Amino acid sequence: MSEQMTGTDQPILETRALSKRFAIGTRFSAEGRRVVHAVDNVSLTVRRGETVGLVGESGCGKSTLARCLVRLYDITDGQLLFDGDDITGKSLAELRPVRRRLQMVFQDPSASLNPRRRVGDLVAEPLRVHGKLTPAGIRERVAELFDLVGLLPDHVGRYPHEFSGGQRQRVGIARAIALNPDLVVLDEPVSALDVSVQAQIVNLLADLQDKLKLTYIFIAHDLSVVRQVSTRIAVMYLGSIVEEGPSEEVFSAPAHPYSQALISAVPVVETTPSGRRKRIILSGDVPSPLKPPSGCRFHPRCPVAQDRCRTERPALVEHKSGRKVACHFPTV
Amino acid sequence: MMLSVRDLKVSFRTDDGLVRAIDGVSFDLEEGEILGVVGESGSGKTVSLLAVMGLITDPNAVIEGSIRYKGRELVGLPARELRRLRGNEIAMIFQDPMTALTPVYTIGWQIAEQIQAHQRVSRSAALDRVEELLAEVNFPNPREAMSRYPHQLSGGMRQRAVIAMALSCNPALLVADEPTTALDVTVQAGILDLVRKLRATHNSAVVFITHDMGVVSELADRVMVMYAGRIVERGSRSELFTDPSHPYTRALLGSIPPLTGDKPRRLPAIPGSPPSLLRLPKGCAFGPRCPVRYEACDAGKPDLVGASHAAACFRMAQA
Amino acid sequence: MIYPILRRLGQMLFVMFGISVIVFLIFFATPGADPAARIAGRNAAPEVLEAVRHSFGFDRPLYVQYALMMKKIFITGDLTSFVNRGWKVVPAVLDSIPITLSLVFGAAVLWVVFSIIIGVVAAATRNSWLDRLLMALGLLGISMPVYWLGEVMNLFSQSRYHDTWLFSWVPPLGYKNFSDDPKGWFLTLVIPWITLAILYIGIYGRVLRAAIIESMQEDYIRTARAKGLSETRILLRHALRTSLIAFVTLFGLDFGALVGGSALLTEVVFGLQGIGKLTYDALQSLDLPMIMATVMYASMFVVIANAVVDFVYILLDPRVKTS
Repeated sequence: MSEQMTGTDQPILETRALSKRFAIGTRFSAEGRRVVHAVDNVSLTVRRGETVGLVGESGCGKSTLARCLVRLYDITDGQLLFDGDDITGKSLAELRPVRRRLQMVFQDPSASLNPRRRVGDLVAEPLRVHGKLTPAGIRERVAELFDLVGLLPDHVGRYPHEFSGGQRQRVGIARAIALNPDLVVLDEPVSALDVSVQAQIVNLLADLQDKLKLTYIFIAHDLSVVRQVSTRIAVMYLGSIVEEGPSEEVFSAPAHPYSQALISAVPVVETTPSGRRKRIILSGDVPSPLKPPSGCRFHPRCPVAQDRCRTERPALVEHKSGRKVACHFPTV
Repeated sequence: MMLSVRDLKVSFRTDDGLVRAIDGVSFDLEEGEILGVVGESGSGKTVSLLAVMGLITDPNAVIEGSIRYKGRELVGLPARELRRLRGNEIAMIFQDPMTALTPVYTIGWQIAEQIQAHQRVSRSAALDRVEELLAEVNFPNPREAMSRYPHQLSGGMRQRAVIAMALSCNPALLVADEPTTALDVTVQAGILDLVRKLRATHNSAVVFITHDMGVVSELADRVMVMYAGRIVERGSRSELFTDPSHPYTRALLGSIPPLTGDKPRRLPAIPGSPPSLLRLPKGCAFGPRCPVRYEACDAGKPDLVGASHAAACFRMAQA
Repeated sequence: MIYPILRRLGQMLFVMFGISVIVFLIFFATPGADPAARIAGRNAAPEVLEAVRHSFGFDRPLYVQYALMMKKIFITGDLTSFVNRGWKVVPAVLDSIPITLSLVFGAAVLWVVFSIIIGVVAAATRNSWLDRLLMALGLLGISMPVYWLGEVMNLFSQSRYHDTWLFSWVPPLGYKNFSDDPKGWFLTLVIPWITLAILYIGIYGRVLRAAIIESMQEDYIRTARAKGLSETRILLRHALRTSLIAFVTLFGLDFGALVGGSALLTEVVFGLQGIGKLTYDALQSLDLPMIMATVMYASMFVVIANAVVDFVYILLDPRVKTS
């Protein structure tokens, strides 16, 4: 990818052994107080201008991780660095200048927009809260943003319910980029949209990235969408990253058995009848994060598990340049 | 012919007048065949199959046309007669396994209930059959699973339980409404495998409703693409995927990002969004979003033209 | 299983302790309400006042008084009234419990049975004339005040039409012990039961109808239809069954409160010496020991009723057990 926009090699966002644990129940409940390791020891580096795709199945912790990255959740353990600045334990007031540069777009555009406010106001809100713009300046900026995300100028006075899902997501994106952020975390931004509309939003995100020099963290369960937008991929399973690497390489030759199964399971349109790919069907379900398996967390479902996998948990280690896999027997 | 639907129209009386959700849908289904029905929200794919099942309970709904199951007309059939078919000869699987089962009864109880609704068997015989069914849909421990409540099972397990329930009376026709949409891909893969296996073992015909072109291409023998309450294209899987002729089908296939090979700089997207049934455009409903639209497209609604592989498009008909 | 019970017990003790302290403090802290002056009567001489204060122990520190009172209620059981000296409070409460229980149990049976019938019939025939009629009747039942309805019932059954065939069986007001005279017990309570139940039939019928109609929209009802079940079975085994969860919650709260003394108006109107009546009289004469005893009893019952509801909940809704 293009590296010309970076002055330094300083990553825009970095997590060091980040963990998020939730406590369930109290000491007095029947099973006692239990701890869910929703995100477990995640170290991830995001460089300027790239798009890191987080993939994995429901309950793998990708959305929890996203919320930790924008500090919607407090971080239990580890460090979170934004532009070299440790923001792990910063208070809400201290976070304000960071929030401006670090935005999030949510899955359901109708749930994240206040239905009683005009979309123009919704987009202007972050400008009022953070900015030093005059009312006229705000109006101008809102018009500019509407143009950027492909909404018409006269849409400003409408309410969210008057829009289609795709248009509402455009409003959500306009809100997120209003303050010229550096990094946008997109949590399933196209999952709630009709298939014919998804491509529009994916294109819009790509255009905005070029124009505004944005960095994205893109979360989705639709692997083909993630492949389309991402330069790098991190595959998560039960709270941890099991594989990370350049998007093209991970998709064409996944090295972790879980990534292999995940990618092979995606149904794709085959125009040639003989072209059906070999599919790896995993046995069983994703185990409960309350009782994660010993050793490698994937071993009970892994088709190539050995004795060692049951006892020893593999670390995420770098194999070839830029490819990291947490497996004792990776196919790199 | 197992199922033959002719000129099916479903309308709903609303405050804004009559809304036509299904506008003249016709299709046939042979024994043991898997028909994929593809469409976006509001395309009418679910409503048309609910009509086949007699499950449209809205008193404001008006159903016209003909639905023949094994030669028997279902439209206008008394509720009692319809009930005897439903769950017995025609079974249905719904989208969200989280809410499709009654939360206060065990899986075993709910499946046995269906068996006993249609067959004169004892409770214990019904429960034995439940155990067989659960084993068939790959429950590792069927005996134990029978006593589980829905909330104690994962999404994939629940959907398997729903499928076991649908199969309990050996239905000749199985209608599956987006049964894998709420599930993860690895779980979906297992369910799709199961549906294929069932067609082989039970010789049931399956109507599989989905918005996912990939799922259809892996599963269906024949495909029907719907848009705004009408069929815009239908054909065998290979006809439809190697030679899509309706502009909507083409655009839809084109807008899916590829999983292998070169990735395009930009995706070929379809402009606009699916129309609201309350404000359908004049003429062809896809017109406003269509790249090859011309004057004739505003004049009227195109009919399906073609034999096995047919499309409803003036441009194609002209060519 | 043992743990939830212990937790309930702890909860009960905590509630009872809190309430007793509050009642106690209100009694002493109410401005201008010197208990000794009230007991000694108006214009009592200072020496008399002092004697009363001493003999009731009001000259000792508050916490000692509190501890003594608790000891007399729970351990020795010989707490006596401030107003009628020598009248033992604990036996008085124990005597009135069967009266209140008889009243509330009977009414509860009536209101559960009839509200389920009304709720189910109205939901099954929703938007028909029958549904509208039942809901209108329910509203009527809710809007008739219990004391007014009770007096009207008395007027008809005790005097105006007492000699007609319709009401000639109605015995005079008052309570008869079940063990002495089961038939008399039943006959004296029939009219109070109906009076108390009518309000609740109205409320519960309407609540249940709404809950059933709501659950008829659920996905699992569509599944049940797809299974080919009959509408009756869908209504009773699926929709009603899941709606009962809300019903039971409401029932537990109301039942607990009624047994705890909220049936007061009905008891007063029909001359039943139940807990409600006892509390009412004690409040009128600001008789702290009696108030304390009835309040302790009531709070205990509310917590017990809640525990029973939670237990029934587990039976009704398997999701509660695991989550």
